[in-house]
Amino acid sequence: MMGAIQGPPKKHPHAASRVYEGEAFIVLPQYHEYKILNAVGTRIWDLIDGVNTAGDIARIVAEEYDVTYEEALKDVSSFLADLEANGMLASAKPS
Amino acid sequence: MAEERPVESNAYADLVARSWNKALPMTALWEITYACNHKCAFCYNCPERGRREMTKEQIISGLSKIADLGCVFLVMTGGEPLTRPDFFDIAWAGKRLGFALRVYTNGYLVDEIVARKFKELMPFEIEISFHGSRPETMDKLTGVPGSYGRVLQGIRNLRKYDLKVNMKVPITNWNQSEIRDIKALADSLGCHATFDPVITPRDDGDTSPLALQADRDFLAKLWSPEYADLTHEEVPLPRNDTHVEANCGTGRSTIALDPYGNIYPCVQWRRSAGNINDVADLRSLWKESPVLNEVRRIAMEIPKTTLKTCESGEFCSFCPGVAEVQTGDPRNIYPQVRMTSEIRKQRHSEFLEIQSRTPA
Repeated sequence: MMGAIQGPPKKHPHAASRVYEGEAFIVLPQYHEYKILNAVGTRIWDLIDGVNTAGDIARIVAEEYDVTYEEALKDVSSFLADLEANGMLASAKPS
Repeated sequence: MAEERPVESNAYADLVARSWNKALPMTALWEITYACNHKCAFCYNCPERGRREMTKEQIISGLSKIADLGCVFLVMTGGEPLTRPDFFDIAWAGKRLGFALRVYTNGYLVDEIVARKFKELMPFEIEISFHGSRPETMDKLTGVPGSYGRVLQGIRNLRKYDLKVNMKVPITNWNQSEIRDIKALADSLGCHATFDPVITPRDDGDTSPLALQADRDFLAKLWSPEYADLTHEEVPLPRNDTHVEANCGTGRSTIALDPYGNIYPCVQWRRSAGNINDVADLRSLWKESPVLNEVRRIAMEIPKTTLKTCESGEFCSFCPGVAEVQTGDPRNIYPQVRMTSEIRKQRHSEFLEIQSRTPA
């Protein structure tokens, strides 16, 4: 799934989210669904701002979680692909 | 109510349970106006004559404080929220602040244009009050001739855009015989339907709406297998307090506001904790308000006191706000909850008895 996201990822405009005790709770009205992310997922979600690229996010994750950039990029890319597949990014399937 | 009692264990139920146990605010319910184009016989709202409701700018400023507090759901209700000409301006401001929107409306004003605006807005859910399968029943309960046809068309307009509509049916003794037909109508429209047998007093303590409550015989039928497809309960079960310590989420997972900006622990419990216009830091109020801390304490006591001393307490769906407005004390069992819990307990016992006689 690496390389699936082109350009800086952006949250889906319908996605509503807040962080409770370190976990992002995300509501997807277009699918009538909720998602809850773990701590690392929440940090990545927080870094998705339409400006940071997957590489930028991986660099921050590598630094904060003490992993190599290559490992971080692999995980971040895979996670972004999951978010996209679940309709949580702006480039997601049309609602 | 905004959140169901969390009784199962999954990530969402666990989060709701934590929000109750640790006072993590998830839902803000705002009555943005008391103006209404229906005159429902059981309405609990009590507008203050001549008092000015909040402007759009004041509400949007308040929403920003609520977003900062951490609520993710914003329930826009009334009155009838769509009677405000600036409804969609407020809703979009809420959306931009990161809220998932729920709109409680009577659907009367949802024409094609309004439905299209809702499609663009994409609320998480639209709840429409619905009161009968026959026009004469619904029109009698709303006090507005023609309301049945207008509301039904409003629902069809929303469903055309595949918006999620929940038809919310307060059960009264005027419509109790029609609820199965209402469910069939909801199914045919592709809507969810929820049936609520709880009628509450008016916010000023006037108990006249209680005369409309469904009668005891009907409620006994409602909590039998005959209506299990509507209640989603084969048999009434006792309360499950495994995951939560408090009686309910009042002042813990929810906060409520009226059209004047008064802040309450929930829509039923009208003890004002302040006014959103005067509050600079809602987070501090949430933590330090004596009113909110008091209702949290009482809600924590109720399962250990009120419900323990009530014979059918384990079957009580108890509301301290209703108890306070009706009896003067939020810890007192009130007649409706006594009746419904007795029926539910009896039904549960009957079920156990039948089960014990059935060979394995």
